[in-house]
Amino acid sequence: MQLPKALKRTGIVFFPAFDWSISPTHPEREERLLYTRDQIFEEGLMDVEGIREYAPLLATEEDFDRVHACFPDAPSLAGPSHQVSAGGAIAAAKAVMDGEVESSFALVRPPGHHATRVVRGLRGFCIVNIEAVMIEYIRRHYRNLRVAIVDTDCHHGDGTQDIYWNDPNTLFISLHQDGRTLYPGSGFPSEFGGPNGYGTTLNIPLPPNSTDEAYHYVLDNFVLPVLDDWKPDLIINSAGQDNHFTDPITNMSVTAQGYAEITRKLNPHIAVLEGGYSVQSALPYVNTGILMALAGMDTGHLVEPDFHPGVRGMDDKTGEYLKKLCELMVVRYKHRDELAAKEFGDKSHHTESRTLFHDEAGISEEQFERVTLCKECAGMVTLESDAGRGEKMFLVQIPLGACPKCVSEGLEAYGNVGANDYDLTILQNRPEDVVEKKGRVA
Amino acid sequence: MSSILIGVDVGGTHCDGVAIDRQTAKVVARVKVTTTPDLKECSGQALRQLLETVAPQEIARVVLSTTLVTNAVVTDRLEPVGMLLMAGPGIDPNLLSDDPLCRVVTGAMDHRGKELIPLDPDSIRRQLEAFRLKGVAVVSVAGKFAVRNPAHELKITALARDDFDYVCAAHRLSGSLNFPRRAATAYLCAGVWRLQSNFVDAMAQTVRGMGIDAPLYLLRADGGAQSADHFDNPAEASLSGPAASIMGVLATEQLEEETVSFDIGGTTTDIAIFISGAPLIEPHGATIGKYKTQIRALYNRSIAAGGDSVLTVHEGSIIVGPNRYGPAAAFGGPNPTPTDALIVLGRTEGNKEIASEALSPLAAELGVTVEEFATSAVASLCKLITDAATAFINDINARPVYTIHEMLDDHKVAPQRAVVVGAPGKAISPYLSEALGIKTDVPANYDVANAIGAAVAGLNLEVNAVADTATGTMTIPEAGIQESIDRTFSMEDLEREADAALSTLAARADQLGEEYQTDATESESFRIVEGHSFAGAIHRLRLKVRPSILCRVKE
Ligand SMILES: [Zn+2]
Ligand SMILES: [Zn+2]
Repeated sequence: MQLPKALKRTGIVFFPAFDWSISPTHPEREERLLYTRDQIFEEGLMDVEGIREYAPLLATEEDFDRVHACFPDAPSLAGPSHQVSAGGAIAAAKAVMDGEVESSFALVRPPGHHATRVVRGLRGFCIVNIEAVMIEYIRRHYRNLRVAIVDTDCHHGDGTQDIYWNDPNTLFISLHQDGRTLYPGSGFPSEFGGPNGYGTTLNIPLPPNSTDEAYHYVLDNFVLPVLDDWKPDLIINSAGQDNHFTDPITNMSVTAQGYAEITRKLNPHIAVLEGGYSVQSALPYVNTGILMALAGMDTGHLVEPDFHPGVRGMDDKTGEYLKKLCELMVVRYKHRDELAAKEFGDKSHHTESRTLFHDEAGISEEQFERVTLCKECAGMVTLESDAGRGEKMFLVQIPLGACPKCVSEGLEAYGNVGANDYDLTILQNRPEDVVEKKGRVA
Repeated sequence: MSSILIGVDVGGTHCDGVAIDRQTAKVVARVKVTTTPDLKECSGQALRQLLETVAPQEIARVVLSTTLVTNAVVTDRLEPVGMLLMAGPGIDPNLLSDDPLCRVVTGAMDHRGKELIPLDPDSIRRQLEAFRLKGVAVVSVAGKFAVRNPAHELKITALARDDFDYVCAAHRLSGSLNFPRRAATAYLCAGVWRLQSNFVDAMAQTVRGMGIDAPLYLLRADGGAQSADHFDNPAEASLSGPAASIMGVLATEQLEEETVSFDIGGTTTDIAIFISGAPLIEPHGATIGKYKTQIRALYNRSIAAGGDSVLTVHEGSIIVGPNRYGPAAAFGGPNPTPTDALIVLGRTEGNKEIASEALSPLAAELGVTVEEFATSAVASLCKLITDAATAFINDINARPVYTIHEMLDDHKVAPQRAVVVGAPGKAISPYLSEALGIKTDVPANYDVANAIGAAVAGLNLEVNAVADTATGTMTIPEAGIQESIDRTFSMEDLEREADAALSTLAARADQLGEEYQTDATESESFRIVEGHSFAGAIHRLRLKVRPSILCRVKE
């Protein structure tokens, strides 16, 4: 009696957080990964030669502050569960970076891809963006890698998109159910990145009821060619599982086999669990499939009990739509520099206003962003954020690898703000890896 | 009043026996005989020699620990087993074995014990018939998630019972989740069943023939003594050697602080950890030879370095082991060993001249005196041992936890004390103590600690109980319990049921009815939400007997 071996050395961080929930009947509740644990343990996957289980680490306030501007501060928003969940992603990444495994799976909760730069409360079940906290930890403690994030959660990864909006060194691709039919309502092809990262944010909205065939059409005809061209050092998969045909809060039609195949195609260095709320019928099989596919194991026997062949095909209308969309997006991606020149011209600065809704916290926030256009670096950013109720915040971001001009511009921008101009003013000085704060709540 | 506890531990080279008077807690007799190829022979010899000091009617029980099962497994001398596997979604069960007698049959359960694929009794009958025609006499059946619903395994057991000598249903062996390990355990269980039964029958006869009326027990891998008449999973008699020595440490020393123990033998050194006065249990089950099993075992780490390991010099460094070719040179062995070094250093008895002579070429190669070489050789052995202990402790501390509470409350093991047993233990301990930098003790009967451990080992059992009020079932696989429950069934109810199941098993395992303590671990309750409302609750509980001893031996 012996287990098949893993063809690829694979790490797994499993943290089901059995003592954390948003509320007892919320999709994000204690037993979300209970049956997943049962399946993975009963399969004996932790015993497979080549699969190694890692304990999560505890992410720190510094790890959060590197990515987020938290109001009033990280500890009062992100509790131990978020420290472990983000720390789990970090542990998974470290195993890869240290060369102990070729890829790893952070099978952790709570999720994070709806958490934006500014954090004021729970947003789409998320507080901190665990992928971003992980990536910036790697960039701080290893080196400034070129990273691609492919978000295959059913919901648009609007938080991750916001964090990397201006970063030319991070490619963010999101495949999701069309925002006109699902939370958070964003993720359209026109959302293409800020001026210094134009074309490194790529959104593919999929029609409701998209199947394995539809999903794989987009992977084959858009995602894989782009990844091939962009040549990232590291591929991260935000591996949400709510595209499954049994998921109770979405309307897609992907199967466990479909998910295993997504994993094989993307071949990510690190997969991080995001959503997925069909706790009994999908998650045990999809998570098992992702882990086995990462490890290079055969997944032919992994067919969920509710599977029926009808869930797999694609109708002509969807086929036409996706063909057009992929062609358009490939063209836009290829000509992203010309498009940026056309869009932003020779401006020295670009400004944007937006309204951000922190749904579960019930906070509506007005943001005003000003980006320094820069050919040398990701550009200095200032962000004014007003949530009313005397909660005004000003954020200055000096990006990693900033040019001397953007560094001095950033320091000046922070210096020019009076201690009491805002309730909280934050300087994220990434080249120095320091965060400075001032104001009433600092 | 019979108060003598007999322990016999048969190792690779020696067979040790002790008689302990439970009332005075003293070792009243100790013997050492050479292990014979037929283990019944040396075990009988050890018993006979013990009877020179104690009278048969004084004996309360006899506990045997032998290498019989372990040897059969690691050398692959197992009876052919007709193995039937059932598995639903997941790893292809056909990949789990290339044994032509291992067959995958139709049938599957899910994680809640819901039937996914029904059995096909006709094809199972045909398969059993094919086994029978091939002369297969023992059968095992293992189904994925059978511990959540054993119906399929039970049905197959019923179909096979009349035509085979022995039928093993995997769900009875362990309620923990791990299908490949459970299947491997069931395979070994059937594969060693006849060997073990024959040995037990013969030993029972020997014991009766000596006029001993007391019950015969076998030591389990988890350090528990279990009645030989009710030894339901014979594979659990494996790895009793390390278990005996670990129980021996527990029996000869008061262990309040976290402790690391070393059993230094001729070929190997076994390392174990004690927390709150109890040895740690292997988290997933023992690995025996090429088999990863669910056999509960005391957690230990074994390294190929001991008193008789061969000493060599390679590129200016001293290498200890990994092989042993015979006893120390001073005792007529073929090569220099750490024991020779200890003789040179005056730490242990032996012919100093022969020992020096054996070490001198190696000393010359390094350009040092024989004494200097001897000191370095012992230090090298101690370094291997302490490095292995550090790695072992690191592994224990790196074990994953699954709740925020455990994560924040994560206790790190850091032993403050060491105990050394085994024949060369006393001589090495001063050096080992220095290398470890912690208080190091050698108990009085350090060289027969293993036999003492067997003699005084208490009971050790575990049950895994699961209640699902939405499906209305409670299962305790180890006890063969599956019952209907109602919606109000609570964790307290489950605790009561698990406790009752454990006492039934305990009464079977130990006819002397010794007392035991239990610990409930991994006790968890979850609400089941279907749609937006509560459909019921899942309660899970693991109830374990705490490894214990019948008495602590005084010097
Ligand atoms: Zn989602
Ligand atoms: Zn710049």
